[in-house]
Amino acid sequence: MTEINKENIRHIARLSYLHLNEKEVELMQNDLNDILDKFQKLSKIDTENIHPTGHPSDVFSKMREDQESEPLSKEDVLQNAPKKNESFIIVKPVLD
Amino acid sequence: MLDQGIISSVELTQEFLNRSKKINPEINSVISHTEEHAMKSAKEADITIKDKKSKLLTGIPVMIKDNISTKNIETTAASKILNGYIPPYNATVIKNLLNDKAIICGKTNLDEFAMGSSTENSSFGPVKNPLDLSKVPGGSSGGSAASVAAGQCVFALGSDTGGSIRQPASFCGVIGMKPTYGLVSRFGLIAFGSSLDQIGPLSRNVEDCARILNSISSFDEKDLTSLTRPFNNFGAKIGESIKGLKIGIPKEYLVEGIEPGVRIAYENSLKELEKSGAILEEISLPLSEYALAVYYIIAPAEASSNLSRYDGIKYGNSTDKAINSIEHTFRSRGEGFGDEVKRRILLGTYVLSAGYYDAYYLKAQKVRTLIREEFQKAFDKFDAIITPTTPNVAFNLNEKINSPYQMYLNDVCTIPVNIAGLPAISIPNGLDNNLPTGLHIIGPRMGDQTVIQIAHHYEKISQWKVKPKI
Repeated sequence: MTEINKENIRHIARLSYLHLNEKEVELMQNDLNDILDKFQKLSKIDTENIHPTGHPSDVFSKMREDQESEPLSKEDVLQNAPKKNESFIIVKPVLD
Repeated sequence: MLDQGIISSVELTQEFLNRSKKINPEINSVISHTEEHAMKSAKEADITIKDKKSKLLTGIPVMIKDNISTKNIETTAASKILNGYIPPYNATVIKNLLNDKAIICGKTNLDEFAMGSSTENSSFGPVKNPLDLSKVPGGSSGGSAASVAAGQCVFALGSDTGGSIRQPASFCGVIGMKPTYGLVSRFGLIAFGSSLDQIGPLSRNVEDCARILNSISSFDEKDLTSLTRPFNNFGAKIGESIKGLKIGIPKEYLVEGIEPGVRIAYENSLKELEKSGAILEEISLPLSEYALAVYYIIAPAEASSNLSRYDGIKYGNSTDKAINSIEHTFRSRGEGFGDEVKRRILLGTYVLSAGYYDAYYLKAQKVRTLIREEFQKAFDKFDAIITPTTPNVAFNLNEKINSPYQMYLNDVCTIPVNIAGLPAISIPNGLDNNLPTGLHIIGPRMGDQTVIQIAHHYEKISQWKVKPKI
């Protein structure tokens, strides 16, 4: 498997909307390489024709009736927002 | 005692709160005490008890791991990114406990977002093991385990994704159980690895574990992986003889580097169980060796998706250093998450990304199927499988914090259980240099009653008790 370099880390950080400083990029590069190195042994196992496990519950899509019910109130939804007015959460400009 | 009127819930709750607040600065196990809520609940519980309408948990002081949502009570997951977050709803387990009128006394400290094995990754500072203040309590439910061990509550709730109830239970000399995946609703549990997470009890005796599970386990429409348990009482087999029960001893779990004291305690425990008539036989579970790699691909992958909701917009940490919306999210997350959380988000994103998904994530999911099947085949023959809970006892604070992979090795015995969705308990079984060791009893899917049966029997014949230093 390819070793992860700093550019890979910056790319993954961009994908996961995570701001990292240069020191963190280097730390994460070393850590991820160390961890992923230990996982190479998985490639030794024959998994031909094996189905992947999503979760061990053996329960699959359960549908419910489309029934109206009480949602969270506007106050409840807004109570934790860092910036808001009476009806909306306020965000920074999206477009320049 | 409550039913007999020897002590009221108000008196009991006040006693526990007083002790908890007094010793908490030394061990840092509780993030916030919920005194007002607790005393109000205790008064109501006393009325219920007087009216003879009480349930088993009525009036009993409990601590809750701070990744379980409690309505109108701050819930932080020990992360800066959820600083000040007040859930507008209760987790289903909380709803169930409140229905039984248990008394919620506080929210316990944890590794941030339940990611860790030592409770050193908390934005509120580390928790110290009440049995030895220079040692970690284990993690991620270290606060819950420590609070039970130190007498800050009668029992606590924790969550277990790779061993996060069982390992700290072992390190702190208490009992901790993870039920069969699906038996306890995850609604309201701050999600980490959704296919692995389960909420469970930490307590001072096995019978309490069963009682707590009876209360918190329920089918829940709001959790798509929720199951109705095929039995009513988790403790129904308590007191039944273990004579004739077949117990598998997997050689792969006596890992390289296991501490001699842990090994000796384990072997002694097996001898005790054999004397009681259990039939022990060595088995081989060769795929368990790959469970750590499978876990550290699947759990971070799921975490990277689950934690994408923390954007600094709807709740939690919001940076003041950004000029546009995208930068705002980048920086809020960068400032709000600790190193271990970032590490796992990055790892998870990497294994899910184009070009790597098949080799890592899909491969891990397939190996997961094989591990599950290997356990299923073993349980065709055996009633339970028993291993040490961890290869070592509680280690020093700061000893492993800079070596992520060394930290991950703590969970090598507990992780396979979450991969396969099985029930398992950790129960104290000895001392190694005055620190407790743990016996790990694993059952087949839905075999929670048998796990509790064997644990209760072992508890009766062994009587391991360790006193806290505070």
